[in-house]
Amino acid sequence: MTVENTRTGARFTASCVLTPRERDILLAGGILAHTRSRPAEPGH
Amino acid sequence: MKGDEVYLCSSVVAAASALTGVITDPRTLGVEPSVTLPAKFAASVAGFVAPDGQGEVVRGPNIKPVPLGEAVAEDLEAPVLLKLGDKVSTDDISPAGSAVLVFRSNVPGHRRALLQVRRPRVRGARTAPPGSGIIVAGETYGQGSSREAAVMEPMYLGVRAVIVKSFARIHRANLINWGVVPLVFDDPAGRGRHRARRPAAPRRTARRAGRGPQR
Repeated sequence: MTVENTRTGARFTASCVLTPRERDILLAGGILAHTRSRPAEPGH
Repeated sequence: MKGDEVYLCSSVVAAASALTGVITDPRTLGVEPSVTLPAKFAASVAGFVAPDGQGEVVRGPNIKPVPLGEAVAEDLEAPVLLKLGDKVSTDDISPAGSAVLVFRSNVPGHRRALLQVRRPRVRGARTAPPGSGIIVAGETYGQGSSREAAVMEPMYLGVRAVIVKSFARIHRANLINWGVVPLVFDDPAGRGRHRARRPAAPRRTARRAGRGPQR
């Protein structure tokens, strides 16, 4: 992804290599929110 | 205790050493056995009473609710709150010790100790009301322990991303678990182009994050 310094206009790139599960957790705002958003599994 | 000998090692070394009775390099024990993990582990819910949402959680005066992270936005614009060097440990970020241990279940209270080891004169980031910000640092950021407070407190203060040359593995996992984006400079020289600024200053750094999962 691209990071931009809005004061100077300088840009550089940074990486965030994630597994699909890590991506879902991050987008949810953390593992607590991620867990809460998932339906309970039968028997659990 | 005096005279104790403590070794920190990987779980594999610990297992090999437990089998032999002495500190052992697992690579000397032959070919690693192949183990197939089940797709799912059985878990018992016997004795577990699901909360009905009606009860009240009773807390002592120094026990505060766990702060929750925010969903990561498509685009994030935030100031660089702190620029740190290499080998910032979790103890640098969230110090231990008798003076602050009393706040171990009180993130709002413990945040005042944030980074006081590394940046004792920078108080703005620790006392500012929650907002949003970015931390920039060097190699092996978050080394030393799995202390989750080292993520919870910056997150509570509004840190949404950390951009570094490299992360300590467990700390990186903790950042994800608390909704803080762990970014690594593709070109580490880029780190020098940013200076920390007081949180009250106008925003000046933007990160544009596509929803694509990688790079």
